[in-house]
Formats: sequence, structure tokens, C-alpha cells
Amino acid sequence: MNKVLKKVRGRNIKSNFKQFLSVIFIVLLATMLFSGFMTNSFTLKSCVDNYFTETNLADLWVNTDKVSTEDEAFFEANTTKFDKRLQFETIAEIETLKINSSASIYVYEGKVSTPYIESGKKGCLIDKNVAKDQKIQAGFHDISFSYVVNYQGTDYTLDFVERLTGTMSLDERANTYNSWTVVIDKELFLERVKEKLAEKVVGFDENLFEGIAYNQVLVKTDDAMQTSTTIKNYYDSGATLSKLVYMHGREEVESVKLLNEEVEQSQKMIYVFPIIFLVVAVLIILTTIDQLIVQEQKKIGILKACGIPNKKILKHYSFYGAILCTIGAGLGVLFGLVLIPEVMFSRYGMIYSIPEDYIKLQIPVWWLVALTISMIVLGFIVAFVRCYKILNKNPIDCLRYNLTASAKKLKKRKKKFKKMPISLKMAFRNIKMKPLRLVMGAVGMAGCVALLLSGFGIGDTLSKSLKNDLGKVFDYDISSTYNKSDFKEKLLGDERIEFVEDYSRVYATLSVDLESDKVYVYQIAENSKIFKEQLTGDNVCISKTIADKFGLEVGDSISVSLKDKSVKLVISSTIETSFKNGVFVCKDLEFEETFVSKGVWINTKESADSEKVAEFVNEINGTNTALTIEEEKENVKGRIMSTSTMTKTIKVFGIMLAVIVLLNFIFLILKERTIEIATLKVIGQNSLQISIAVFIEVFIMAGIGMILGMVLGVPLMILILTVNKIELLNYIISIKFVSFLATFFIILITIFAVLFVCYLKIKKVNMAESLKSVE
Amino acid sequence: MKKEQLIFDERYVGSVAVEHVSKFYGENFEVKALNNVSLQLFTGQFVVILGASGSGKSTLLNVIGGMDTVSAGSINFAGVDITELSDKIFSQYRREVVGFIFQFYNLMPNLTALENVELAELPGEMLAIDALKAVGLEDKADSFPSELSGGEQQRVAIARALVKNPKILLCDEPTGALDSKTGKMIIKLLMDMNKKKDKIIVVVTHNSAIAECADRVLKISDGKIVSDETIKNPKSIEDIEL
Repeated sequence: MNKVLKKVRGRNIKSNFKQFLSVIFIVLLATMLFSGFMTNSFTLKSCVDNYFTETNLADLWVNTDKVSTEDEAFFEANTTKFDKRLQFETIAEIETLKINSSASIYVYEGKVSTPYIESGKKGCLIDKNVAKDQKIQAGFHDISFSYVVNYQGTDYTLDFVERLTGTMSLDERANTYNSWTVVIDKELFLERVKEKLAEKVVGFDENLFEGIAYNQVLVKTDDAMQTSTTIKNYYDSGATLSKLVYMHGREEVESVKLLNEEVEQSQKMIYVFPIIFLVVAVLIILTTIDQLIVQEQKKIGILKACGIPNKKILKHYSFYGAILCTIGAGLGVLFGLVLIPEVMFSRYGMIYSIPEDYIKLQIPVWWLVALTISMIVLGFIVAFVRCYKILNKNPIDCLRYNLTASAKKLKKRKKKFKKMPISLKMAFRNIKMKPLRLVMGAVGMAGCVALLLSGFGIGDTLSKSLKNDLGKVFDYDISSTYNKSDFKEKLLGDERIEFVEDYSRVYATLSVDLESDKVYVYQIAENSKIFKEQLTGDNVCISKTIADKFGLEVGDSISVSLKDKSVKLVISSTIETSFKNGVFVCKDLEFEETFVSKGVWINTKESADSEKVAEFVNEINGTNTALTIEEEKENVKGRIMSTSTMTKTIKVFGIMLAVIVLLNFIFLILKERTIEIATLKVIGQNSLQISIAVFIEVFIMAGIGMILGMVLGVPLMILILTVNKIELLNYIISIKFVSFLATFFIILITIFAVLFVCYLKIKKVNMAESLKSVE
Repeated sequence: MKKEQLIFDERYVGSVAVEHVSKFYGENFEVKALNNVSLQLFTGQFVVILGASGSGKSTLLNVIGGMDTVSAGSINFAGVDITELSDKIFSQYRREVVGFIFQFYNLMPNLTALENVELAELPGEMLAIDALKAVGLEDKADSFPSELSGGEQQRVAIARALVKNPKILLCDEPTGALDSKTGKMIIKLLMDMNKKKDKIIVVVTHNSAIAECADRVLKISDGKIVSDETIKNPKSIEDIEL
């Protein structure tokens, strides 16, 4: 008996292959996303942890005016490990490529925050992403920059031209976007300085040279809080002549912050989108498996009539649910953990400089096992419950099952529907006969539409957020930073430029009572033509995001400090910004110039091509960067790549799920109505005429799903954005009418594509085969 | 090249000529459902095809009715070789020329009796309600198939076939799912329709009793016509036991 049942099972799988395949696909998609995002999250966390551990990321950054011998002795005694470092910002050029940019040069041994050498060797290392983007080759290209050295009380500006020896990733500068990081070995630099001094200073005596003035100490410690207090006490005690400028921990290092935020976001991602997807998928699985078993009712009746025990029949049919979910979940888990982290890490690789050695796939085995088992159990239970219900009937009732049985719900027709076209009547009555299928189908479609719409909505939100800052709050054509005073004169000489407005920006500490955080402080011209909010005198405008974070209102006082200078300000207005968050003032806060980035906003004449003007600005000697507003938008988009990736994934999976839901719905209908279709063909109706009733049914189902999905899409988008909120960006929630239209048309095209498949299937129905008599 | 138009030669409207028709199944055409079958059917004939299971009688019915294609040979109706018709014209042939009656009625469960008949209505022919009247079911016009007995359902199916006044009426085991009393009623209905002598009625059955009412009996075995007998004095339906 078991052998025969196994054969029946095998043949059933063959005959219901398409429905089975759609269940497998739905389970696959749902588990794939879940397992993929989960594996990605675990892998990213382990990668970031590994990265920071293996490279000995510092716990404290102590910035001083000069690191003295006494200081070194102090750090030796009070820290686990330390490394003194010279850090300076300069304009670096790679002459062969005619590239110049503001670069951060680090000169140190590398005991703490060790640069990870990706290629080449120690000496003069450049960030691997910069090297890749700018097509810089280590061992081939030279980097040139200037540095001021003091010898015997006189400052000498030394010009260095150094051959790049390799590429590297530096943990504390992992977010290399638009920033050049160069690490030079301490010994090599010292040697070069001596050489340059010898060239420049007649009678240079090496013994009189005091060496490089290191200005930073990187500290490794088990207790950052305690150690920072000890360090502060040391500098305050007068035991050293050096002066503590600024000390911070890992929380203020942007790349550490961003990478940790990525990890956090990747964890959150699991609990929103894949879970919603999983819920939609589960609903579809429930209907499909349920319908599959219902279609087997006659066979169940036969088995029952043959005297096969209920237990065996239950086991036999529950197997379907379980096996489909096993295959789907197995493949989904496998594809998920292979594909999704691969895609996500290629994206991370564009934003962060992460050594590939630390990217090791971390499979959350128990989670994935639990996920697979849940799906198997789900499939088993659905099939079991439905089969159990059928088994409660008499065998003869099971054997009598056909469409006519469901049609018993239909009673004598009402006169008012007499004039309705026959296809419409058929569609409505089919729905009346199987309302649950329509409801489940509509719920599935609603899920797909909601996912797609939320994908578009997230795109709109990002675009609105960008447009708000770049176009509304700040209305310029080109923004440029510079390092030479005659830069502006050269700029104003160009007739394509309408006007130029100065601004400066500084990364300072905002303090309110006991709370503090690093923010950008923008100094803007009075009655600026660029900045939306008109500032005069002591007016201070603050981004709404920052105001909300600190619970600030107009009239509240804030303190902004940089190094040893602190300024008290009173908020006069707030402004909604998305990523250009900060404090906006028009008076000079007189912060130390070294830390102030100077720039201009340029508006071009209407007839001028901004891109060409930006090219011209870039060529001016003294320009750091010049970007059109569109390029700047692209840069920001690059920084929020994981959110964009998520948006795209949502859209793609939404469409895929819609295709499966629709195909599944159609396959179920066609399987059930083959005889009807064949009969209609025999009567002389053509395939298109026959298809219309099915089309109407699909449209009604999809229409309900579409309306529901459009309504649910907006809260879903808000939910996704709220859960995935990142500090970098304040989302200005928006969804355009065109997104609703796009969602509508994409779903409509999907429906038409699937209906075409349906039409072909109807065309293929073999009349003779389907209508065979029983002899 | 498939024909895209269905134009009948009025001189031959009354006959179907099956010439050397074969129908093979299987990857290597190892199953010969029909093997070089030739016959001619004429208007007014009530033909019964007898044969064992798998003999090829239903296949013959299907290829005449345009439900299935042939592997070889031709089928001519009113001067048109229907094996040469395109899909679209084949549908037209089924709609305008052929009426089918099945063993299991094959009514649309979601349409009422009247609507089921309306499905096959043709302009200029009988109205669906008149067809239902003809089978004595006008009072059940608004009932769904699930509300009708087997015999009633088969009568609706006959009305559906009748409504378009087909030239050929093909019945595949029309009494197979009915009790003998109802079966007799259905055969009587078919014989009554034959009184007008305006169509070819072909009944496929394994029940030899029905053959006693026919005016022509074909016997098929292994895909070949083994006997073709014309009955000069067919019995009345009341005289036979189904």
C-alpha cells in the first residue's frame, strides 16, 4: 500500500507541477530574503568587529599641540598600548594624473589603528578605494604635498614628492567617500624631512633637529572612560608642557559611527522588510496548499473508499505541504546566504574601505534551521488541517466533489442581472463559489502592491530629502571648496557666473546642558541669496533634526565649541533639512582657521552649462573640489546606497511576488476549469472569448489587491523608513502621485503579461483529452 | 497553408466524408486510435457507433467534430476539408456546424440552464428559451446545474446543442451517466429531433441496445470500421431495454 501511495504522490507532483513550483518559489523568495539579510547582518557585524580588532582600532584619540618625551612616558605607564602620530590636512597632488585634492596625511608607526595593506608594501600608502576610483597605481604614481617643519626656531615649508608604495584600508577612515587618506611610515617621513631640510638649510645639522612634532596619540585601553579621565588629569596637573587640544573616543570617529550604523541598520532590515514579505508569502502559501489539497478531494475519497486508514491518507497529503516548503525553504536559505550578502558587500565595498580578508560569511545556522523548520511545519500543518477536514466527510461526498458542489452556493439568479454579459456573470459567480481564493489572492496582491509602492515611496522620500537640501534650502548651481586666497578673483572673471557667495563650515561640538554631539556649523552670508532662511546679525538657525534630538526650541541657548573655543548662541529659527544638518549662523564665530573649511556657492547664468562651469572651476589653481548640485546629489545617493539597494530589492521582489501570486491564481483556476474551458471550445467559443471570464476574475482580484496595496503601501513605507532610520539622513517623508501611477502601471503590465500566459494555456487545452467519456 | 475562411458548397451541405483518416498517439505513433478509416454520413441519418473501450469510436467522433486533429486523411463537410482549417475557422466550424452532447453533460456550473444554452446561441437560429422548451425545461431556465437532476442536466446539454440548429449532432455516451428510464428519455429526444431529417446524428455508445433504434450502425474495433450496417426498420425506443 505504501509503495502505491508513494507512486500516487510522485505522479501528483508531476501533474500539479506548476502549482507546486509556484509554492516552492514563494517559499524560496520569502526565505531567501530572510536568510540573506540575516546572513548579511551577521557577516557585516563579524566583519566590522574583526576589522576593528585585527587592526587594533584605537579607543582614544588624544590631540595635543606636541607629544613630548614626558607624555610618551605617561602613556607607556597608563595605557595598554599607544602610538604617537602626526596628522595634518593638506592639498595633495598626483601630478601624472593631474589630480589634486584635500588629503589627510598620517605619519606614524602603525602599532595602533594599523593600516591594512591591500597591495604593495609599507612606506607611503594610499586608500584602496581612492586608488581604484582615481586609477592610481602604487609603485608607479607619485604623490606631492607640502609640510611646514620647524628647525632652530624657523618654519620651513618642505615640498614632498613621494612614490606611493601600496594601497591600504585604514579602520578609522573606512568611509573614504570623497576623502584621501595617506599613511606614511614614520621612519621614511623623518628621513625625507631631513633630506629636504638639508637641501633647504645651509649647514643643516641633524643633531640640532628636534624631529617631527607629533600631534596625536592613539590609545588602546580596556577602560576608555577611566583612561580619558587619567589623561585629562595628567594634562591639567601641569606635569607636562604640552597642551591637550581635544580628546575623543570611538563614538566620534565618523567611519566607526557609520559602520556601526550599517551593522545596526542591517539588523533592523531583517525585522521589517523580509518579515513583511514573509507574512505575505505565508498567506499565499496557505491558500495555495489549501487549494491543492481541495483539488485532491476526489482522490482522497477514493483512498478512503478503498479502506486506507485516515492516518495514512493524512500522512500522505501532509507530505505535500512539507515537501514543497522543504524544497522552497532549502533553496531559499541557500540562495539567500549566497546571493544577498554578495550584493550587499559589493555595495558596502563602494562606500567603505573594508579589507576582504575580514569578510567571512557568517551563517546564522540556528536561525536558518529554525526558519526552514517553521516553513516546513507551516506547509505540513496547512495540508494536514485541510486534509483532516476532508477526511471527516463520507467517502461518497468526497467522490462527488466537483465544481458543481461549490456551485451549490449559487441560487436562482436575480432578474436584475439578466442583462449582464455572460463572461461577467461567470466571473462573479466563480468568485462567489470560491470567495476565499479571491480574498487570499487579493491579500497577496495587496502585499506586492504595498511593497512596490513603498519601494517607490522610499525613492521619492530620498529624492525629496535631496531636493529639499539641494535646491530648496540651499539653492546654488555649483559648490566649491578652495585653499588659495586668489581663487575667488579668478572665479569672478568668468562671464558665465552670475554671483558667488562665501560660506565656511566647521565640525564642532554642540552642547546643551549635559548632552553634546558633533555637528556642522555653517557660517553663511547675511541675507544670503543661497540659504533659504534669511540670517542677520546674531540670528541662529538650526536643523529641525538636531533641534528634535536635543529637544530645542526657538529661544533656547546652545553652546558650540571647537578645541578650546566655545561660543554661546540663541536659536532664532529652525529649518527642515535632510542631510545638510547643522547650525547656521552669519556672524564669524572666530574658530581656529585650520579647522574651518572655506568654500563658495556659485550660481551660473541661465544660459550657462553648470557642468562646464564646474569643470572650469576645478581647473583653477586653489580649488579643492567643485561639484554641480546634481553631482552632489549623486554623492549623497552614494552615501545612502544601502537604503537605495533596499528600495530596489523591495521593488524587484514585489514584482516577482506579484507574478507568482497571479500565476498561482491563474493556474489554480485553469486546473479547476479545464473541462469547462474544453466545453466552451467545443461549443465554438474561441480562446480569447473563453479567457475573458478568467481575465475579469483576475482583474477583480488584482483590483481589490491594488486598492488595498495602495492604501497599505504608505504606512509600510513609513514603517520601513522609521525602523531603518539612520543618523546620516533625516527622511522627509514623501510619496508622489506618479509613484502611485508607476505602481499601478507596473502591476498592470505584470497582470497583462501573466494573462497572456493564461491565454496561451487556454489555447492549449486539448478538448478531446479533457472531455473523455468514462466507459 | 491553413484555410482562413469557412465557405461551404451548398450542394454538399448534407454529407460528411471521412477519407482514409488515421489518428496516432505516442512518441513513435505506436497507438493507432484510428487506422485508415473511411465512411460517409448523410443528413437525416441516426448513426450509432458501437465498439469496445479503446476501439477508437470516441476518437472518430472527436475528429468529425473538430475537437481533435487527424494524423492522416481528410474529413470533408460540404466541400470543405476541415483538417485544413486554421484554429479560428475550426472554432467557427464547431460553433456553426457541430453540436456536442457529452456523457457528463459538461454544463457551466456557474451559469443557469438558460445561460448555458445562451452560450451556444447563434444569430438567426432558435432562441435559447425555445430550445429549453423543446426539451421540456422552460420552467427550470433560471436554475443552476447543481439544482438539476442528471437527466435534466443532459436535457439542458441537448438544448445547448440544439439551439444552434447544428448540421451534425455528436453524442458521446449520452446515456452513460443516467439511469435507464432517463437514458430512454434522452434517446427519445434525439430520435424526435431526427424526425425533421435535417441533421446527422451520431451516437457513440457501448450500449448495443441503443443501436436497435438507429438507422445505421457502425462497429469499430482496433481503430477500424469492421461493420457498417443500415437498419431498414429501426425499433421504437419504447420497445427496447437500456
